[in-house]
Amino acid sequence: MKVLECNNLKKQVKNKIIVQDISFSVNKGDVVGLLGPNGAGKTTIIKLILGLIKISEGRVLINGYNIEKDFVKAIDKVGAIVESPDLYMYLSGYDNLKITANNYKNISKDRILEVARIVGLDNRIKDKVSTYSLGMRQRLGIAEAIINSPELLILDEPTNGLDIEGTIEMRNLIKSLSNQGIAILISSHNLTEIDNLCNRIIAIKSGKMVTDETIDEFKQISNESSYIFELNNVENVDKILQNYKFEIIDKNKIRIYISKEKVSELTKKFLTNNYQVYLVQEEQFTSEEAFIKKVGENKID
Amino acid sequence: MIKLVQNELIKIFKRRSIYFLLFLSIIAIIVYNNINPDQNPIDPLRNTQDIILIKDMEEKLKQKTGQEYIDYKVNLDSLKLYNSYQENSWQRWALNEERGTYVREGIEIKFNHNIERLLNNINDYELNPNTEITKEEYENSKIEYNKYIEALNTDNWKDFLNLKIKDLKEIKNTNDITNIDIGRINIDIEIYEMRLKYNINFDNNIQNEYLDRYKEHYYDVQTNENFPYSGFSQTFINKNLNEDRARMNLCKYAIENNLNTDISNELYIISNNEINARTSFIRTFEHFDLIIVIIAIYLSTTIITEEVNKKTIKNLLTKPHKRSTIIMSKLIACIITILVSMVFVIIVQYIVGGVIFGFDSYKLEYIGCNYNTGELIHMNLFEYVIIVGLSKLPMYIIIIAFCMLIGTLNNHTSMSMILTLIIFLIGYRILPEWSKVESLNVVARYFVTNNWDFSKYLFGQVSDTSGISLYSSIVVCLIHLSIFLYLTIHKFNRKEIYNNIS
Repeated sequence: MKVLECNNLKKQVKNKIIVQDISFSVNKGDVVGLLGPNGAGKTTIIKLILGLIKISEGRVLINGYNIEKDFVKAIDKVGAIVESPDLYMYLSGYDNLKITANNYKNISKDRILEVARIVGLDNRIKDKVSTYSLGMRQRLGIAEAIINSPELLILDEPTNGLDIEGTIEMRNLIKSLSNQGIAILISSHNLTEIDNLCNRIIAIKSGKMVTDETIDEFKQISNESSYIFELNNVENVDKILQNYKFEIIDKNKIRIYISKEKVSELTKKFLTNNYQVYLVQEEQFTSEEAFIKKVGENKID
Repeated sequence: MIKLVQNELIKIFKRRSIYFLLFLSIIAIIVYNNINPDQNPIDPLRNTQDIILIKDMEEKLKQKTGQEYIDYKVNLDSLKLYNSYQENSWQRWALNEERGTYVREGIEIKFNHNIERLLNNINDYELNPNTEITKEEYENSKIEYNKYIEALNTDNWKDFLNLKIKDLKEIKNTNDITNIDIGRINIDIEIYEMRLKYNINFDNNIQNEYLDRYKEHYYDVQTNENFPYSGFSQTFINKNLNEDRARMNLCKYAIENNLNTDISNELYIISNNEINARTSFIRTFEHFDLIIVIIAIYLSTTIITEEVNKKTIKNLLTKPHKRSTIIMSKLIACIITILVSMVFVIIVQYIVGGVIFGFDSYKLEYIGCNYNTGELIHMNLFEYVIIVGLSKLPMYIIIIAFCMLIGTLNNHTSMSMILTLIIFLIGYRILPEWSKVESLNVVARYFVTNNWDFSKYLFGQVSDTSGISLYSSIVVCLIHLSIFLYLTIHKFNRKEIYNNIS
C-alpha cells in the first residue's frame, strides 16, 4: 500500500527549475534512500513532500491525502527531520518532546519517556538541549520524529553526528521501524548506510530522477555477472580466455565475465594450463561505484 | 488549539528573557516610586508671607490724591491688617481669601471682600468730600468692621465666618446683580457653611485645598458653560466640563468625609499633595503602561522571528495544524502573557508602594466620579486597577497583532522591535496632539492610536478628539485588528522554508 506518492513534482523559482519530473512512491515497510550529489534537489523534494515549500506542478499524496489540499490529514502520520533536528536549545529534551507531543492527540507522558528510552536519552532527557552533543541532538530529533508513531518517516542524514555505537543503534531502530510497516524515506550522503538500510534507492541529479531501483538492481552495473580470478600470474591468459570477455586488473588478477555455471570449467582450464588459482570471487559493486557509474561525479549545478 | 497555546506558553515562560524584562519592571517601579514625580511642587501662591511692601506703599500714598488716594489707602489698610497677624495663622489664611477676584466684563468683582468693602465705606466717608456713603452706612460699616476685627483678634474663626455669610446674603439681595454673580456668591456661602459644618478652620492643609479647588472648579464650570472658548471643539469643551464637575464632586466628598488624602486620581486636583501608596497604586497603568507595551512588543515580534531565525519554524510547520491556527495560538499566548505581566505589575506596584509609603493608605477605597451622572463611584482599589488594565487590553492586543505582522514580514528581530516601538511612540504620543488640530481631525479620528485606549471611556468619560466615541473606537479597533491578523496569516501561509527563509 502506497503511503507516499509523488507525481510529476516540479519546483520552479522564477526562471530556475529546481526539480522536475519527480515521481516515486514509498510503500509500507519500504526503506527508500534518496541519493544525489550536493545541490541535486534532495532536500527540496523532502520540503515539497512536507509542505514547507509550494509545489509548482504535480502533487504529493500521503495516505491518499493531498499535501496541499488536505495538509492536516496528510501530515498527521508523518514524522520528519529536515536538514537537522529543529530543537529549542533553551528547553530540556523532555520539554522539546512535550511540545512535539502536544501537536498530536493522545500522546501520553509514558510515550514521551518511551521514545526517550528508545533513542538512548532517558538519562539526559531532563537536561537542556544546549548541553547535548551533536549526536544527542540527533537522537532527540529522531525521538521527536517517531513520537506520534508515524506511518511515514522522513529522515535527513539520520546518523549524522552519531558515534559507531549510535550509528548501529540507529540502523537497528530504522530496521525495526520498517519491520513494523513504517514507510521510511532517508536522504543521505553515506552510501554505506544506504546500502545497509534501504531496500530501494532513488537517485537524483540536477533536479531530475536518474533511477528508482532496488538496491540489488542499483548495484548491478551490467546484466552480466563477473568473477575475479587471482592467479600466480596473468601471462598469456588470453590464450585460455579466447572465448571470454575479460579485463586484466593487475599482475595477478583478472576480471572475467562469465556465468556461475562456467566458473568451475574455467578454473579447471587454468589449472590444466599450469596456472595456480588462489581465489575465485563473484564481483559485487559497492553502492559508491554503482552511484558514480549511474549518477556521475559530484557536480554542483 | 489549546495545546498549541500551551506549547507557546512553555516556550515563553521557559525563556530567561521574559524574567529579565519582569525584573527590569520591578526596578522601574521601585525607581519611579522613589523619584515620585507625581509629587507636585508647592504652589507659590499658597503662602502667608509678610507683605514687605507696606513702607513703600505708605510713601506712595503721600503722592496720591482724590479717589486714587482712597482706593490706595483701603488697599494699604487691608494689607496692614493682614500683616498684623502671624505667618501661617488662620487670620492670614482667611484674609488671603479676600485677595482673590474674578473679572466680569472687564470689572473686578469682589463679593467676598467684605472687610475691604467696609474699609472702603469708612475711608470714603471720612476722606471723600463728595462721598455717597451715608452716615448710617458709615456707622454700620464701622460696627461691622469692628466685629470682624474682634473675631480676628479673639481667635474666633467661626464668628468670622458667620459675619462673612451674613454679608454675602445681604449682597445677594441687591439690585444690580446677575445670575452668574448669584451663583458665585452662593458658592462662597456654601464653602463657608461647609467650613462651619465640618469644622474646617482656615489653614494650609488638604481640606482647605479641597475647598479652594471646589470653588475654583465651580468657576471653571461656569466659564465653560457660559463663555466657551471658540478655539476648541465642542467635544473637547464638554469633556473639560465633565472633568471639572467631577473634580467638584470629589472635592465635596473629601470635605464631607474629612479625608486627609488626595482622592483626585487621574484628575490631579490637589497641588499640595502627599503621594501615598494608594495614589501610586491607582495610577499604576498611567505610570507603567510603557512596561506592558515593551513586553508586548518584545514577545510578539520574537514569537515569530526567533522561530524563523533558529529554524524551529520547520518543526512547527510540519505538524498537523493549519498555519492560521498556529498564528492564532501565538496571538492567544501573547495575550495571556500580557495579562500575566499586568497582574505582575499590579502586585509589584502594590507591594513597592506599600513598602515605600506605608500600607495604611490602602484602607481607603477608590473614589471616583461618573462623568455622565456626577454620581460618586466607590470600589475596591484592586477592582479599579483591574478595570483600568482591562480597558487598556485592546491596545495591547492591537500592538501584539501589529508586531506579529511586522515579525512575519521581516525576519530580523531587532529591526522589527525597533520599528514597532518607533511607530508606537509616534502613534501614542505625537499623533494625539496633531489630532487636536481641527483640520486634521477628519483623518485623525480613524487613527487606531486615537481609539485603542478604552480607559478614556471609563465611568462616562468621552474622548477629547471630536468625532470619536466608544462605539466608533470599537469599530476602528476591530477593523485594524482584523487587517493586521489577515495580513499576518496571509503572509505566513505563503511563507516558504528554504535555507534562507523567505
